[in-house]
Amino acid sequence: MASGYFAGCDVGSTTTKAVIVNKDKIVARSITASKVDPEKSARAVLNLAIQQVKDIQGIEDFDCLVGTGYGRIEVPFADKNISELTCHTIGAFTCDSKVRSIVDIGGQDLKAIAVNEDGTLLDFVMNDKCAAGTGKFFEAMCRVFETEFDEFSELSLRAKKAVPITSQCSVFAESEVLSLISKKVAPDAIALGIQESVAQRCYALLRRVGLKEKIAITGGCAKNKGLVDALTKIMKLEVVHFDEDPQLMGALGAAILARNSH
Amino acid sequence: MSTPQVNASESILSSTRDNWLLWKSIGKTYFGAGKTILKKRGPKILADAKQYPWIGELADLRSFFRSVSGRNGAYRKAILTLFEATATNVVDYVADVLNQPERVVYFQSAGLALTEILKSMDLVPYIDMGIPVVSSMLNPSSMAVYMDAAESEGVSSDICSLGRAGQGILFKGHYPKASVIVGNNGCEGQVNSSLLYAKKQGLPLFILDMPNIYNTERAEEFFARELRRMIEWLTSNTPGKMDWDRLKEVLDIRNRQEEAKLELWELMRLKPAPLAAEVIFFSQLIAPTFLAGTPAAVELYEALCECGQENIRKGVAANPNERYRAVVWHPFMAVHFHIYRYLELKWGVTVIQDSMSYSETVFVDTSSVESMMRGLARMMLNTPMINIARGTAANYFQTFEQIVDQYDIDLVLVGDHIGCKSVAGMTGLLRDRCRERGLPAAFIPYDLIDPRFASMSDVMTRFDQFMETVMKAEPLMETVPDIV
Amino acid sequence: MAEEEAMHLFEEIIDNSQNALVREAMDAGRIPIGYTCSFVPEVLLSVDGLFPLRLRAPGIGGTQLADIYLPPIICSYCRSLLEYGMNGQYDFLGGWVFNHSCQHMNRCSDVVKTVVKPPFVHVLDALHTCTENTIAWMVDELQELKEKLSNHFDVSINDDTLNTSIAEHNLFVSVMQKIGELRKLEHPPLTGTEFQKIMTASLAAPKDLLLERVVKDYLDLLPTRDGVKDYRARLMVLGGAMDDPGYIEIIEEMGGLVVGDHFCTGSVPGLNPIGNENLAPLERIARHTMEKPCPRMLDAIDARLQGVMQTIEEHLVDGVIVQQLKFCDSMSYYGMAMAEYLREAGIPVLRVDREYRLSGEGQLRTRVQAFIESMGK
Repeated sequence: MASGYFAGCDVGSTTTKAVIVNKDKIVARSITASKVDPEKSARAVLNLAIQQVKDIQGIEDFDCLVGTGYGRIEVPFADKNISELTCHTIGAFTCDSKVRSIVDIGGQDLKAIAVNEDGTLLDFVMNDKCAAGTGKFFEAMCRVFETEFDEFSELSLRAKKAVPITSQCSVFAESEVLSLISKKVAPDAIALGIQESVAQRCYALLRRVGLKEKIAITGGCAKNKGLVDALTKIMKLEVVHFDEDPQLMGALGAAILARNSH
Repeated sequence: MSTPQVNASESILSSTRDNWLLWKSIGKTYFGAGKTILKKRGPKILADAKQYPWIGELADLRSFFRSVSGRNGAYRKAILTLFEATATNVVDYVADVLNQPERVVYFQSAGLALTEILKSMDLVPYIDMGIPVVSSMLNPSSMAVYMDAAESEGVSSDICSLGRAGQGILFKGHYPKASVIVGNNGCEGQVNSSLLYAKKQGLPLFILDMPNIYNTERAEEFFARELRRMIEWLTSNTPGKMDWDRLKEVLDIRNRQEEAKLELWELMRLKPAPLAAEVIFFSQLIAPTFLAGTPAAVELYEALCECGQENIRKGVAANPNERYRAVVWHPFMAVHFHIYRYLELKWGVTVIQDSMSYSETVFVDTSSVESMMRGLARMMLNTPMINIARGTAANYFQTFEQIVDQYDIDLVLVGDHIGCKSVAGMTGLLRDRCRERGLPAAFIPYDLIDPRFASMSDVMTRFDQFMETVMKAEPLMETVPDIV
Repeated sequence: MAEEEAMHLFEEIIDNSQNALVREAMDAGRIPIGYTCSFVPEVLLSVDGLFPLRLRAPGIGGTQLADIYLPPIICSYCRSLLEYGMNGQYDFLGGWVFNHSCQHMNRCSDVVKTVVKPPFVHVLDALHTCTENTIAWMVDELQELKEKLSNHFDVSINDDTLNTSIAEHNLFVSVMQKIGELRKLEHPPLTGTEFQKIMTASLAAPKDLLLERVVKDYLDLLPTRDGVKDYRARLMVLGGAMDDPGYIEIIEEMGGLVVGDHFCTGSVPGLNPIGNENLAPLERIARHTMEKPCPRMLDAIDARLQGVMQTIEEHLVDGVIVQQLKFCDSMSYYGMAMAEYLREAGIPVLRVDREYRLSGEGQLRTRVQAFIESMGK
């Protein structure tokens, strides 16, 4: 008998996300740190989400489950797998149907997506060969600043002027930042320089697929206020604010696609 | 020649004279350029500056004038003479391009210049590398916006920064109008610019095809036929028509230009050298392109020679602390050209010659159309960029050995330009050859006109490390003034 | 030969530069000549005991030795060939023939000559436009190569032997074209991977042996096969030289059936016959070579684009993947122009760059999957 519940599971390199929807709305969400084994990651995050829905006892109760993210192929219990590009598109479009450009800043890659009027994917470009500007990069920066992500993201907002970070590589950028800190350069100025260098990278990717309003940022790094601010200033365009956690867009899109396919 | 002056302090008189030289040059340059602008463009220049933002970059010449800091006497005068000539002639050239778009032939230079042919056809050359190179020397980050624009449109980021800048200027709509395009396969990164420009602007395109093995009679015959084909094509596709008598005049002047250039190069064989660095590579950048076949080119070389002779008469070296005679191998660092002054003042390194300047000097036999075409073909196939970027390792090293031997070189400064696959592909063999010859060689990675790959600070640090560790040299000063 | 056996043989040939057929030919006294580019005419290397082998580097790991001489911005194909050469894996060849395909390959040839020092090396200087001038130049180039081969290997290369070689080439091409035609069907009897395995095998073994032993039989088997039904979209792959069918395999694993191609180690221009029977053989070969649609050529780009559209129409292609080796200057403009042209014609395009050695599979899978999804397939 159909349960009326559909799930999307986004197995990323750093975090795994799950969203459960019924025919009307989102009923559960969860985020966990990814394990080495994508299947274990998927099970763990889905079980967390399932606990929020009393009508569902286990993964087998879903009418349809779509896997996405880099680990999607290693999730054997998913009914199908769909690329995270498509899922992020659907997720963002579901939250705001006026979104036409998306930049997804994930744990280890950056993606820019152009969205059609009907919410389908028009074009995309990826940078998944280099960690610069991704979640891993910001993790490294937080370590250098000896601070947590939230605090780092606020730090740059206090700066009046940025100290430019010239290194294109995240490893060398880390060295450059360490060097600046040891020279007692103002941390907020360095933080702003970092945000601007990533924002510039995102902007360049967006330009390549054709920048068009409205613009959305998805992925965990969308919660970096300093980055959002820097990108807004470079683009001279506003970034939409979702009511939903932007880190869940991939999983949400997967869940919507699971529902639509049933 | 007398022993170079090692004493670093200058007399008050020479210091005053040097300052006067500088200010006089600044005045002369801006006055000359201003006069040309007013005469040729008048108030339209304001609209031009808005439509072509790079014009604003060309107006700020501080980087040029800063580069004479620490360089004195006739050497300073020579460099200032060069910059004056550059400023006036670049302004003239840009004005001609803007004034006569129907006669403008965009050509992708890749080292070779078609200036002689085009001027003899009453056409206006637009040399694609001119603006990006000169602009990035004046303001290193000036081309970044164009390179980013090119990459946003899908141009590969590994294409030479010169090509990316040119294509970005096109995408941003900041290219002056042309009537036709002439590309060539001398440089594969840059030929894309010709193809793109022709496509985007819907302009007729001619590709000058040149053999890779350029230094044979067969190659010259072939290329002479290609040049004839190009002239016929230009006749059909532009208002231009070849005046063979005028071409003869232009080439006769060019032959005198080459004689004067050789005289200058001969002076560089003296130890210590009476002139250095920009005097060689910058004169070769300007004269064969913007000034080719004009009396201004001859006058420029003659003026530079006179400065060299002045130093010889006075027993003064360009670099009073000359310890090493260097060849700059592969493209000189356009975006960081102050590095050569830095090396002079801090490490006593005098740049004597460079691979983007040096090549076989070709005198054109102007007795017939046939001989002129053969001469032009030979000249173009032997221009410095072609002779290094094309051909085989054999001819590459032949040029290298000639320079090392003729100029008594004891240090090789290799600008490891990451955008040029042809020179990059020779890096390993060059390293081996330098080792065999016992020549210390510094390989410094950079990107021709993009400072973001390697900043001036990065380049200075690398050279410092090389001089300290490999050359075991002591610096002559800790900080070189006016390095930004 | 049974299907599976045939495919197994193709795979063995692809994976081993000194495969069974190459060894058999060498044991019979024939001399393998390695070449790097489709502008080196195979027919000139197929005469009087010589046989051509397209230089590849199957199973290559890294390029640590090659990187000593050729930095990472030189394309990985060139570095892989140099690595193979420096490791002695090409020592069985009688010689190398390069073309000045591009500046990367030019420098690779310089390093090979200096460091690897094969017993015979020649670099053809094919120009970059196709005019009567450049065809005449190419005839002279081929004449020079012909003389050098004749003198060095003591072989007889004359009009008769060349015309025979051309006829053999055309025979092979006609058989492969028949196989290629089957890809136009709604349910082709072979996948793009299988087709590319045959094409790559034909570059890596003596064609005459391959044709007689396997390819003709394979053609006969094909109509008896069930057609491929399980695919989501019909794709065409075009761009730079690609000799690893594994790349096509990944595309097809994601649901994209590769039904057409335009790259030199594939069907176009690899399967263009040599025409102009009324001309002398060297001129026939020169014309055929210079007329090849190739990103290194700087003219006739519109004609090439139209050729691509023709393949799209005939093979019922849904979308095109434009692939290029990272750092390839020749593909820099051509790839961009191609993508723009196709998009304007309403054809979905995915541009990807790649390394010579198959790597980054996950990244390729994601891109192809998203591309297919974006077509609504």
